[in-house]
Amino acid sequence: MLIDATTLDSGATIGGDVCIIGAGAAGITLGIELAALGFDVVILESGGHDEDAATQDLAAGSSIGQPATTLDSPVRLDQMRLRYLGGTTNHWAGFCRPLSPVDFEVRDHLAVSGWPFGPDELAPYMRRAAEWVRITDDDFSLDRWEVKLGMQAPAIRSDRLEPFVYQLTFPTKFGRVYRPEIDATPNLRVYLNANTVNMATADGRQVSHLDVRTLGGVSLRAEATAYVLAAGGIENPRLLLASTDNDPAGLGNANDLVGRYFTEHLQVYAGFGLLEADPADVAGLNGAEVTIETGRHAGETHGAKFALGLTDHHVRDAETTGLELQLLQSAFPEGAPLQESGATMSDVGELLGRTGTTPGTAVYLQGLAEQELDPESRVILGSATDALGMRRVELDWQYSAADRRRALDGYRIVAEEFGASGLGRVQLVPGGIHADAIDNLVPGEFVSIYSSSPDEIDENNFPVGMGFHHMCTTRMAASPSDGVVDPDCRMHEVENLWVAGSSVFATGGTATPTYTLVALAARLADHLTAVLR
Amino acid sequence: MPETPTRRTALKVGGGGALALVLGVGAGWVDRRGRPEAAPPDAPAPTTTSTAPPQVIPGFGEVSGGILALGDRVIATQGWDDLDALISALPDPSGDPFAQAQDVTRAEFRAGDTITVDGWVLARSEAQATAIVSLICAGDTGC
Repeated sequence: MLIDATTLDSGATIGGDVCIIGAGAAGITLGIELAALGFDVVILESGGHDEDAATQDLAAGSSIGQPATTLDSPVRLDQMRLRYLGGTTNHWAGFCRPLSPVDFEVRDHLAVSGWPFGPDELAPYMRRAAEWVRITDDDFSLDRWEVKLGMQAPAIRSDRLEPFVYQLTFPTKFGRVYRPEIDATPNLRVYLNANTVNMATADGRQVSHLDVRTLGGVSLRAEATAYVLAAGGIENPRLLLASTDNDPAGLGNANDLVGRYFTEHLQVYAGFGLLEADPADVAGLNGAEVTIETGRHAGETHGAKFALGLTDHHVRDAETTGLELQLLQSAFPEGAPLQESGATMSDVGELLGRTGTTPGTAVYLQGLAEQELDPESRVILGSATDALGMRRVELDWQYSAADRRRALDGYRIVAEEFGASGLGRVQLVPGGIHADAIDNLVPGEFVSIYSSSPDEIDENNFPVGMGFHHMCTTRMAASPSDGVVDPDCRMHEVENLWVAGSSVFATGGTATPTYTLVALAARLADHLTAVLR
Repeated sequence: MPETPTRRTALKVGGGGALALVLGVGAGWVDRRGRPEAAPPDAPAPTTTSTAPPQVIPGFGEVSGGILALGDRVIATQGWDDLDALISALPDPSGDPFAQAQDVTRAEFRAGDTITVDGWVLARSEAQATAIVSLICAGDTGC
């Protein structure tokens, strides 16, 4: 059931077996699963049913490292995370795929890498997560999806680059989709407008209760046997750092790891591709709808499409990091002046035509690259405070010249594999494309879609955008010297506190994180069940 | 990935369907760099345009303006201005350089034997072919 915390008497105590902070993808999955097993579950959600400015302002902070941007423009911290029922799934684009096996491995060429378990450990939970996020299932094999979609994947098969499948939910806003289930579950109480401002502890080893406040001034106390922090990759470390009852460094932060290793996916419009293919052969890049055949969402539809990524083999052998590309078809008007000088797409098309092939479809390439974990890339608390008196976040996002170089190397491999496979030619202009201009092309109008001349791209300093994928800030590791939570997602230093969400990822990989974080939440439900019984 | 403001990344199905453009040669490759009325006032003047009539170069058949433009850029960026050297570098100097390029292009890409021109990653031999025809056209005999 849903309860508006603003209607409660100040000073009241609420609680249950488990108290979860945050009603996003992880919190709702975990809450419903535990409630279904009979546990008395409380979820504390900062916002209400919809976005409101005052609550959203609680997520405001400053960016003091690499600029926080989308592909096109600066972005504020409070634009990236949404504080209301469903959390950031309220602006999730719905892309789902699992991490690659290499993401779990220790890679000696990276300073920090490896998960404390392999993909097999997550496999059964990926099946459960598929149902939660409303996709067909956990089978992402290429052959299966070529048949299911009736479309071919891009015809690249090499040991460096390969196509893969993204299943897309349309998209599943967890608050909206699962509200009926929440409403109908009396032993799952979701308190709205309930902001956790402190995790109280006497000794740093046990959370005794949570201090909860509404913006209207109601103060509550939440008590539970087990506590789960599920507020996102920035708010999770913020709340730990802000909980200083026992240690000014924060709760569970004796090793000064809370908030470190902040990791994003490095997003770049890498360039253009001119495909030597019939449009029908590359329709799979756009994908199609499919119908879910079984489970609680049977009969509903979602999408699937193909994309390209560096192979695990190449990531290992070349001692690099992951990279994936989406090939996005756009409405380039016929004869559009894609650039004003230099070698144009038209020129290259004529070359391909002269050498006997038939250039067909123009695509632009959106890349998403893994960055190496860096302890200096971190979430810290600034001196400014929010309306509840909590210190605001300063995000010191760092990525390195090596990260940028590895991404660029990956794009060059894409270009070479396009040519080697006969798929077409690639123009690399990383960060040099006006994405908005592409979206607003009008046939017959002259529009430059390059932000700088293609021959003037600075390969050492091209702009990089964020994917809004905040990861690794309470990193999972077997040893407390390497991470904040253990392989069960329990805080190494706090016995009754667990963490859910992408902040526990041990590495970021390139796959969009929501599907995996939901699987981790389902796994945590099993673990907590064993602990509480 | 966020839904906004980069929602463009999402699957475009339903409604109007996917927006695809067929840039087929058969549909006509029209580069409006050569159309002054379409260019913004400060657009640089094009040096070569693909709206020019195709050139017939002895031994090479018809070569379009776009290929000549590409060849000009290859020469400018790679410094490949020695026609004899370029021709002798071809696997078969007596044949059609474009046909030869077609034969070896994939292997060159596979081997990473590429050049980059204005961001375009091209196989060495196909780039050489464009430079050869551009140099021939720019020479005393023209084309």
